Amino acid sequence: MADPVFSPPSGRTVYRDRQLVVDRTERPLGLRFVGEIDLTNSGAISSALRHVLDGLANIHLDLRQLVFCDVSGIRALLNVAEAVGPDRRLLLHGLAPEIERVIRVVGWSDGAAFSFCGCEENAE
Amino acid sequence: MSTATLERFRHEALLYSDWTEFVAGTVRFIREGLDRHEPVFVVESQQKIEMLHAALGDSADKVTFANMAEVGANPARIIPAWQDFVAAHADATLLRGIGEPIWAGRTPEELVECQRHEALLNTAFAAGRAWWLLCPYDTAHLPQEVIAEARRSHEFVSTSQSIDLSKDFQSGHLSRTPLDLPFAEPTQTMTRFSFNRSSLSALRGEVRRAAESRGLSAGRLADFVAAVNEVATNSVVHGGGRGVARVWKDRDLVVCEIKDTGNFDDPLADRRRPDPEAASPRGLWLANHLCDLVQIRSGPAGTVVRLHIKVESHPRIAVLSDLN
Repeated sequence: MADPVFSPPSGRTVYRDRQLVVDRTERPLGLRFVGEIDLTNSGAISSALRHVLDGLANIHLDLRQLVFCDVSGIRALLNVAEAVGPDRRLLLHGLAPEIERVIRVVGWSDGAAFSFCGCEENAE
Repeated sequence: MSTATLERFRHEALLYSDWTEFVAGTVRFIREGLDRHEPVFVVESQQKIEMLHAALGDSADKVTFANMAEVGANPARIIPAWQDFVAAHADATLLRGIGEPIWAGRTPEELVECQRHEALLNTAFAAGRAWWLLCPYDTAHLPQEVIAEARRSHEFVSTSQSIDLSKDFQSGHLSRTPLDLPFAEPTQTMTRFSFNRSSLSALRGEVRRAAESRGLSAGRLADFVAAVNEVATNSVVHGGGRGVARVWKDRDLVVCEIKDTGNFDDPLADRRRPDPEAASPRGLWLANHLCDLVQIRSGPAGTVVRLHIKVESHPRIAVLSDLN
């Protein structure tokens, strides 16, 4: 199945540090992650995103260029998902299979907090 | 011995010297459990599972079997499997298990981790439900000192003829030879990096390159790097803020060692299933499920963690079954 077409970078960078850039995307409405999330930026990302996501409906996260995400990063995304819910969801696109495996091993795959978007190849 | 009075975890080594003794000891144990309608879970080699199927006939259908080569390839995954078994039968007054984690082909590193696992079973189940675990030991193929350690880690020792209290039993503590022997210093060419909070990303790149150049397959690189990163993160958060990583190749393994100045006294920390709701630690649990073996030694001088991964390998079956 084809990946959804994300809009090109709009200049609306909502978060940037030396190993991660997060930009808004417009179609679908959401955020694109490029880089790595670990202990050094997971806390900052969690606070930044909660602020940014106010007002959005379901939020599509383009994670195709998220090349690394540690347990603290997954926890940060989960915290964001829980903060925007319960009526809205984070829809994950292009999550690397090894990160998905980490989510399952550490026992966070059963929550409804994030969903693998139906238009994505590795959707569940 | 009657099991009617069993009120707590009973850890028993079954010493056998040939297949006849193995079958006699295990089948009697299984049948006694089935007669009492007790859940029975057997974690053995595929060959022994087939042998038990043949010996038990139709009764085998009432027994749950699992392959120790999958469940216990990394012995730190065995206690969670037993915990799942006990938890799955909340209504049973007594349960029985057979588990043979130690066989002659184990590497020295796997062997000592299996021996630590056997000792830790006493700690893990000391305060819990009553169940009876029988651990077969092959006296014909295992060294005498392995049998001697089995007598220290098991409260009871039986043969196909007898059951005795082990006078050598030392419960769950790990401060004895061989369980607390320091790691051997590697003789192979090593790549070494110091790291702190601001160099975790660089550490991941270095470990990836070091493991790749030592032949680790592309399919396991990400798992290995993720495991190393979590252990190094523990050093940054709990272990003094910094650490030293070393990578080398040993036989068919790539090993990464993480050393820091922290000290923790919780030998079950790496095998406690994380609570999905809680912000509980997950790094060591993850490492145990991504790597083929994890060795942890922690004391006043600091903590050393060695992560082992096979160069020609696929993600473990145990991980894949977790996916379902």
